[in-house]
Amino acid sequence: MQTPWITMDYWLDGWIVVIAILASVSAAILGNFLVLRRLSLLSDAISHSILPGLAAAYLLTANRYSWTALIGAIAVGLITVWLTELIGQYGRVDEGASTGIVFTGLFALGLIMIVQAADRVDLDPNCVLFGDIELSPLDSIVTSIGVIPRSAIVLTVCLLLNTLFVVLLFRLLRIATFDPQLATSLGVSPRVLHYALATLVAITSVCSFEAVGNVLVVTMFIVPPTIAFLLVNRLPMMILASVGVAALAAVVGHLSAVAVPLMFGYKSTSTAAMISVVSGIFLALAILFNVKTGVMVQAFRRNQLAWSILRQDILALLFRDSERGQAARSLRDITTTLLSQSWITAMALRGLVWRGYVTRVNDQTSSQASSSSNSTVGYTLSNDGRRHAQNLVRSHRLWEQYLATTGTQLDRIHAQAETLEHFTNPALRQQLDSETQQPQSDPHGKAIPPEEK
Amino acid sequence: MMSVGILFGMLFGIHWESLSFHLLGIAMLLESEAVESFTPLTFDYNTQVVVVGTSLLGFAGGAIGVLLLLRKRALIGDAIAHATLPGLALAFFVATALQIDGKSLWVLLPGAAITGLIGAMTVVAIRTFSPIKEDAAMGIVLSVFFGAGIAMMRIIQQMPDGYAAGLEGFIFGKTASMRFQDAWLIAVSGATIIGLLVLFRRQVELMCFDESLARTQGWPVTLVDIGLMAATTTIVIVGLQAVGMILIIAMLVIPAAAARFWTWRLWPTIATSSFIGCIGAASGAIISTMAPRVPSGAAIVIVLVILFSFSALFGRKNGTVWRWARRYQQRRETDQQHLLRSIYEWLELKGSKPHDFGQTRSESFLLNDLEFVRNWSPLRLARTANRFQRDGLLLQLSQNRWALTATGIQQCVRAIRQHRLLELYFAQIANLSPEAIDRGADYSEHALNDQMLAELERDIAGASIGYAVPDSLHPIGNVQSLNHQSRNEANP
Amino acid sequence: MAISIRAMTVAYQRKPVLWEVNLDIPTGKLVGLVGPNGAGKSTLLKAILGMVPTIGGSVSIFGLDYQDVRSRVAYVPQRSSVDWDFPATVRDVVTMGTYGSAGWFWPLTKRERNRAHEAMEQVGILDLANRPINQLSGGQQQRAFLARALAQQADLFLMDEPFAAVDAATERAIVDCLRRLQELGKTTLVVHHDLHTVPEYFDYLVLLNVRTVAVGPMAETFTDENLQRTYGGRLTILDEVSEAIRRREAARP
Repeated sequence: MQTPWITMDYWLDGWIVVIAILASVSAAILGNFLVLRRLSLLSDAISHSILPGLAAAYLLTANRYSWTALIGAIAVGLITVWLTELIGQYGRVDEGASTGIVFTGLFALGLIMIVQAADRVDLDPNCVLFGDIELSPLDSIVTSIGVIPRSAIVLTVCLLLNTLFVVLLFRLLRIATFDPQLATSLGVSPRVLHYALATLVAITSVCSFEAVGNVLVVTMFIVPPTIAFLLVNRLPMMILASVGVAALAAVVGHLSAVAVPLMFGYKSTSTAAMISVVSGIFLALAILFNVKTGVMVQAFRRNQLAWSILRQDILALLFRDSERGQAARSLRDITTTLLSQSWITAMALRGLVWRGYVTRVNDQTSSQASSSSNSTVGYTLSNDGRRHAQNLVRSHRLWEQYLATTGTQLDRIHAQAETLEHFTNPALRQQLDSETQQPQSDPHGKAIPPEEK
Repeated sequence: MMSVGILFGMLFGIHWESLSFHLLGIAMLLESEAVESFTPLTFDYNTQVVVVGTSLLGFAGGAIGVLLLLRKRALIGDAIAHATLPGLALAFFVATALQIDGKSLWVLLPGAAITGLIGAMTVVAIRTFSPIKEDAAMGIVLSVFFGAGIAMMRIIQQMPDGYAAGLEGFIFGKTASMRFQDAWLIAVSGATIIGLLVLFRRQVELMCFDESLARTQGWPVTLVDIGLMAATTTIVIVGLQAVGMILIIAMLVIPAAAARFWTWRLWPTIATSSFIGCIGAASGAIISTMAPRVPSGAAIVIVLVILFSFSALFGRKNGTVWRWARRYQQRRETDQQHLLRSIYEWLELKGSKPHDFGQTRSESFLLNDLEFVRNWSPLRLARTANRFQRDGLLLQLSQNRWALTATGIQQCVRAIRQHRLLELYFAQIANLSPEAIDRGADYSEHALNDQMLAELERDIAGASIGYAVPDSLHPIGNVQSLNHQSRNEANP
Repeated sequence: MAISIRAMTVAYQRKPVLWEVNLDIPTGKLVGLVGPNGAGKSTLLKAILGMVPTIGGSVSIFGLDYQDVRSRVAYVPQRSSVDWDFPATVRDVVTMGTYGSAGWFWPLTKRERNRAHEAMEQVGILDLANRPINQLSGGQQQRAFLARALAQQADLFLMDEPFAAVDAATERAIVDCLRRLQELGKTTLVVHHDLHTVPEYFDYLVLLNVRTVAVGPMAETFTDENLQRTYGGRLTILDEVSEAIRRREAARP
């Protein structure tokens, strides 16, 4: 049994990573606009339908890289967009369906052509789907600065082209993506930009075809921009972030393609496929934990709010106790009064003690000793806690007074004030105070305590 | 096959008495007869199984596709199909670990179904819990799940008995590997789906037509939607072998979209779509057995695209050829009315307007004089005039001199009378300024029928007008000056 | 004349949306464009801007073709027509208004940034300048759109329902802004829904229902009779004609 060991050939693996980064970044730059214009599936459609264009070029030139392939792919890409529009218009089907018809038809045609071409060109239909990035460094040419894989050169040109397009036409793209109507009224045709974008998507798909194939390139178009969309708030930042994410996914993707199968005793797996998986994991993390809309972040915030409300309720309860001259309360007492659960209350109390708002006192000083036989500790407000609690109770009673003056029924003001007290800052208390003519007591006759700094 | 056709014909033919349905039933019988009676001569047993199986698949796929299309969820099928790949690979891993035959369909297909459904649910979850839009969600699920599948497949290829696993067959479809029980599986699944569709036809109909109404009436829309997703997944799974995961979406989308060119009603659409799916799948399968190097999925899709193109060209509803024919017809009618009116206006201007009674032939006129009242090219004028001569409306007296025949006079007076009555209507009731009226009248008079004409007469002039032609409201010949203003001159 | 429209007809699928519309709007007026649902109000704005194909008719703006005066016209689309999840701040959106004059390629100068700044100040959203637009309320979104139009520094403003579903403060801010524009001699055409506020907000009125029913100064045009004709008026023959066209085409193969 041989011990699994990560072996890296720096020339080979280095170029694989470079090619992966170039392909991912080229696609991600354009992908921003696809995602924002809700054209994500256009990348899927075009990357599939360029196949007949490529196959025709293979049949004509028996060469994988040729201008014919590029022109063929661009032509078929534009035909895809045009046919999709046409079918959507006259067939009364939505864009998804018309896309589905066009790209499956063209892809099927391409497949049949490839099977016919297989005699003359070495092309495996499976490679069409996920490429062969591991072999692409082997097809290299000697230049003045060293031996460089052909794909790396092609993809660099593609990356430059896409970058130029986005940088030069940034304002046009931004306005046509955000507000096509305004763009039209300013004399910019969103349709022309749509076709330009489709052309570049076709070019990028062709250039990265050998490396990543036509299904996995969809990940590269869509996923990094979507992650960026979740993370940042402005379009220039989104483009930069998508580039960063794309590059990171490429590097991590290749590393995990080598490392992960080793853990199970196999040799490395497809880098392109692992880039796709890693991007998917990044996206899942972004969906769950991004600051803006993250599912977990929001759950955490809701949780935080619930905890803070419970803590404030405890403080107010202890303050009212002290008004009645009662010194401390036991955990069980607090739990039953606030209709909470014992462990939750205990956690909240621990938080309050940690903040120094509440102090633990021995049971003997508690006047409620008889009610709780097994709890030996009581809780009482510290000075800090008292100031805090006083303001809370002040908010509560001011609200009650205010609600009473607005004509709310007396039996309902307590419940409403109970919610509102948690969202009342000093400025609002000041305003409530003056609106209700600085009352001394609330409608129930309880004294409104003065404001504490 | 035959029994499904009869069952379908019976179930629907009575309820929805539509011609296309009866045709469908007959066509289906013929087709199934063909398969059953002719194939033994030309095809071996295995081919028969394949053809029957795939045509059943096409049938059920066509039906479900219509519903997906109406719910605007067509491409969810694509996401599900791609998401089956990791399921196939995982099932193979698990089976191998448990020392079961990992190539058995009973192991692979449940695995595919599980990740397929997870894929569909992920799309919904992403859409619900994040601001990501649906199209991006589908693209993400499609490519990421597929990537995971590819990564695992590469590892399977390194396993000792993995290379022969034939899992690649599921990607592009390999009908040759289809066996009798596979066709049986497709038949059972297809029949179940069709049966459920018939059982829940009202819910489905209401959901496709008006989701909010369905919700307010308390229908379990979400449940029906889930059912639809499950049916889609089933079709995708059983179709993996025949068509492959990349192209299975075509079996859902293309027949449904093609059917939209034939009928606008729900159940006839479903029937037509099933029919198209059935024909396409069967012919594709036959082609791929005859040309074994052509992947069956590709062959099926090509046949479906041909059927779609045929429908888009010749479909009874909105087919391109009919649309063109209609536009041509409209233009002809409009031209006819315009020329007749021009002749009248020109003769009127010369003080010799034709009369509807007694006159067998109008005063003669030079054709190129009409250019004054209507700025047509001489060629268009001559062409329309020649057509009028064939129809017996015009008489050519000499090279450039023409006259209206008695029929021509009749038509001419009718056309001008309609036009001017409508002009009067716009001027008196619809409150438009006179110079704008002519084009307004132009636009709508071709749709006036006799009853509406009578109403116009009553509303505008009362009995006083009789059958006379009212005078023009604007000086004749100013059409040209109005026309040169319009930037976007287009004939409606 | 700020806008002159002659004999404009727009039809979707042979159903007329605008029929032989004739309209003259004098320069410097604050114009309300009012009519029932489906009267073609939004379509009229789009037709003026050449955004929908017209079957016939002509438009001139300040006596010229729209293509030649594009920089003098600002359009405020309906708020719902864009995706407010788009990654941009309020400042980004407002700055888009200056793109038309700044050119599409060169970096924005201080002049354009100042224009955006002033526009935000005028509608009272300066403090929101760096806020992402997906955090705006409906009223704030509308104000951002208005500021974008102001940043265009146009002479003619076409606004599609700026008052739809906004809070009272925004409505006030928009009205103030419109008044200021009028004082500067600008012409504004506003699609409006609420008949109650029409005489208060505008000084010139266009009543539209597929055709122009009445056009003129508010005092003369805002009459019971005109409103009756716009909202309850008889359009029976027109309806019948379009219905007949539809039926005839449905009957054909």
